[in-house]
Amino acid sequence: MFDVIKTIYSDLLANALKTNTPYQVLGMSTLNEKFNTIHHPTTQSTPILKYYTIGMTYEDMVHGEDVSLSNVKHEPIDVSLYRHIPFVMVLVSEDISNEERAKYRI
Amino acid sequence: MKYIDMSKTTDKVVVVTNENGIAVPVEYNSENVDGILDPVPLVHNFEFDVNNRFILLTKKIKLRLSGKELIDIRDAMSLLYPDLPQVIGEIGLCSGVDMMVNNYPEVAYAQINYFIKTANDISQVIESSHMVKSIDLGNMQPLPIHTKIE
Repeated sequence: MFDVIKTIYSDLLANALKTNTPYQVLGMSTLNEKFNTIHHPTTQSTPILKYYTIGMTYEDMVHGEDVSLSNVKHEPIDVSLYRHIPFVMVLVSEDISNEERAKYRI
Repeated sequence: MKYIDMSKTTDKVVVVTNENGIAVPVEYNSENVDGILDPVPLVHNFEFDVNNRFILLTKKIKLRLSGKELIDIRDAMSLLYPDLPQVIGEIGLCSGVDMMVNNYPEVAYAQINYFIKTANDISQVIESSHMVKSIDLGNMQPLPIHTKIE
């Protein structure tokens, strides 16, 4: 089994989908807010699980102290990974094609 | 964030039973189970074992990274955190709403639904490398074994 922590945003979204009621996004709960790329959809649509993001290992954050691994686990209210890493790097002068760009968000 | 191709996900329901310390998985077929349409409470003379049988639901999602992406990720790691090992330590599965911004797709309301701990060392990746990571999205709960007490 994977070591998985489910967030409250997952359950809130599941409730909205199952009841077909509007999804109320909590304030300061999105990666858009973290990375300051806030967009406002023009149509009412319910979010869908269809993206992933990656981050670096976090054991090193305990700095060699004798700390239980459970202490560095995420809490279900956490919004962000510990250290986000981008999937692509490009020179400012060489932007990626639209086809390539369609694979990525934020 | 990277978009996930959900067209090839597979669903499974499996019953896992502990048989003398060995986890034995059997695919669940709801059509072959007696009593689920007309359940009767087993209130008298039954013993329940809640520790040795579980029902597990999974949706298998495959995350793919090309050699080029792995190299970019590794380079980004060494630029951002030069003192840390180049290891993908965690994955966030995210929800969001797709929308067009300046003629390319962007996401609104991006939220992490699951934090998944992983450990993928990518320090040695080359152009011909690639990575496919299977994620089992799902849930497991006890499926008690009931025995009639004679």
